[in-house]
Amino acid sequence: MAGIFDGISLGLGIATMPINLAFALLGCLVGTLIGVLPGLGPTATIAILLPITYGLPPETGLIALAGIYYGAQYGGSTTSILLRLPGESSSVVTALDGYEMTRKGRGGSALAIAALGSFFAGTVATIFIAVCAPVLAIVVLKFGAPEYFMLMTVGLFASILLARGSVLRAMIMIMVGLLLGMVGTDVNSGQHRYTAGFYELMEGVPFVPMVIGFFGIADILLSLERAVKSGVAVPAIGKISRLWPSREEMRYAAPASVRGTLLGMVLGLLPGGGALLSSFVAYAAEKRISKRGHLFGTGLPEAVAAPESANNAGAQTSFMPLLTLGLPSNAIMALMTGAMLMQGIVPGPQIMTNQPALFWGLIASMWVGNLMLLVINLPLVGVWVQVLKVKYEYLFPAILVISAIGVYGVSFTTFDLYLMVLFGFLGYLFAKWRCEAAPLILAVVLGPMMEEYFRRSLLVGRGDFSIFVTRPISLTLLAILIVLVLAAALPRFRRLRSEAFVE
Amino acid sequence: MPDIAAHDVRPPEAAATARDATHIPLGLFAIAMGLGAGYVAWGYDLGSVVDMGAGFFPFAISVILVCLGIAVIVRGGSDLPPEEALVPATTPAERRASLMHVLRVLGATLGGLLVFALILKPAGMVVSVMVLTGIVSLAHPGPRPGPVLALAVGLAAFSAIVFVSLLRVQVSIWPGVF
Repeated sequence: MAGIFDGISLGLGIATMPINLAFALLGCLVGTLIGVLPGLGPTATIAILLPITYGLPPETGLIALAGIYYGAQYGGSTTSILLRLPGESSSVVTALDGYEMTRKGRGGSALAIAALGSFFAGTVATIFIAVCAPVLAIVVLKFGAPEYFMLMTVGLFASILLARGSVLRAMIMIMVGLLLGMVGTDVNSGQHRYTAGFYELMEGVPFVPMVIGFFGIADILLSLERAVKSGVAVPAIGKISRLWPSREEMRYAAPASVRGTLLGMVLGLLPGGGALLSSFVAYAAEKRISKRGHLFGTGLPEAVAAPESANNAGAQTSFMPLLTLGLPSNAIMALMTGAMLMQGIVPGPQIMTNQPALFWGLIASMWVGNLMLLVINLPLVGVWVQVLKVKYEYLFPAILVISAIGVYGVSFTTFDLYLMVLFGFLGYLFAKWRCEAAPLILAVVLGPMMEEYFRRSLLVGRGDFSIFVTRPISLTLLAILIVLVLAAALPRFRRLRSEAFVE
Repeated sequence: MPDIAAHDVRPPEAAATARDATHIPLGLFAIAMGLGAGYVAWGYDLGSVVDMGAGFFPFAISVILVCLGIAVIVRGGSDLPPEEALVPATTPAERRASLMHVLRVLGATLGGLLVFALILKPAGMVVSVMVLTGIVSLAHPGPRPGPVLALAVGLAAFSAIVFVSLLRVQVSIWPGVF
């Protein structure tokens, strides 16, 4: 226990260093700014801003990225509530009741409930991580190659089961991602694989052009295609009431926020979970247990509090598998992994012992970031709403310029720009083919590690595949994998899975 | 809540919908990529199960990818969630219009980025950013020439000051040797 308090005080020391505070603030502001804009979710935002954190010290860079992530979440809920324009998918359900509250003149109250609920959830989830992560990290230190291989396989498979859409197509994306992860010099033999003679590919496909292509450029192409077709106009902004919720509203919102937090914390830990799943499930659960569930969708405070608390709790706890297992559980965590690898840090249980400043600094900055968002977000609501008046037609060229220069700025080669265009086009095609890029990017990050662990397992097992069965932890993970595969085939589970995202 | 249990329930507007056909290009892509990657991996050292060579893992993945590509074609779109499996039906004229629109978006956006990559080093930041802004603006019917020019100048100035002068991105600001 003492270690945890030492850790937290070390972390708070790191997080409150002026440079880290400054970048956390900057990250929160930029994240909110971009999260407010419809069409650019947290994943695209982080991808586009990834190169900017390149030159920063590791702690500062990751703190800034985490700030961008939370900021984008908050920004998304602001526009959901005020305009029924979810800036990103995890605030889609917030828009249902949040916007109705705005129409009833309770918009300010809805914003405050969302912000307070998120802050509460962030605080609880941060404490949860601080207490549990060290314990988990110690357990994981006992893992050998077979366990890691099984863990990553389970993680990849679970991440597609818990996401929406076709499992088969997600598996295709995983295989494409694994192949992309193979590009470069093989560590064991020195063989150059799939480099086609480009020396730029010797160390693997450069990460930044790939993620900006798949998330940033592809997103812009899709928005451009839609924008003109439907001619979306920004709707009028409802009047914002005074910010403080009434006692009556608080009475409904507070317990919902607690339930949402607990649900979000658990769901955030699951591979493929995180903010999106958390908010959908919390809304559905709240509707089911509420005595006035039939009124959901008419502007109830608890229907805002639950998903907003849940998505923030989920956003926080999804860091835990990354920091303890080295297992990114969703696309955003895959980007964080990429950011760490670019800084020369291998995510995993050893971070806590080898780089306690990074580990605890990041955890403490989660809480600091949440506090900052509470302080900056409510007073700045008016500013964020103004941002929406910027027309997309003048916005997207700016995003493209920043993306292009960001990609070039990583290693000053135009080769990366051509790659970005290629991946942007591919990402667009995949989206058209109803495939999500998230499993692909997870596989890119996990691919080389999985290959290494697979090789090592069979080396240790002398070519005998029974090594995956004879070791108890590996066997347990294998059993989980089999259960998951069976569950995926069951129609009942399939129905449950699609229901989780309907509303 | 729609009844998603029954597999072949047609919604009331069945006349205006068609089955999603994206499984075909996706499946072909997966098969082609799997065959290509598998062929290349075959040329690397496969090694043995005890001591795997560089080709082992990529080859195995390629085989799986080809199988998945075949599977997605065979399933014929039934792998999609029911609410995604049906798409609005379109007439040939609509399809042509939408294709032209898509080509315009893709051409202007990706073309602009390609031109940017080509001219960035010789032409420098200011000219390249202005050209990029001008070309990509064609992807959207909304922007008027005046504001686009203003935006291009603004973005060029911003990029030159913030990225080149402050963040030290290695590229010249002006064309040539300034």
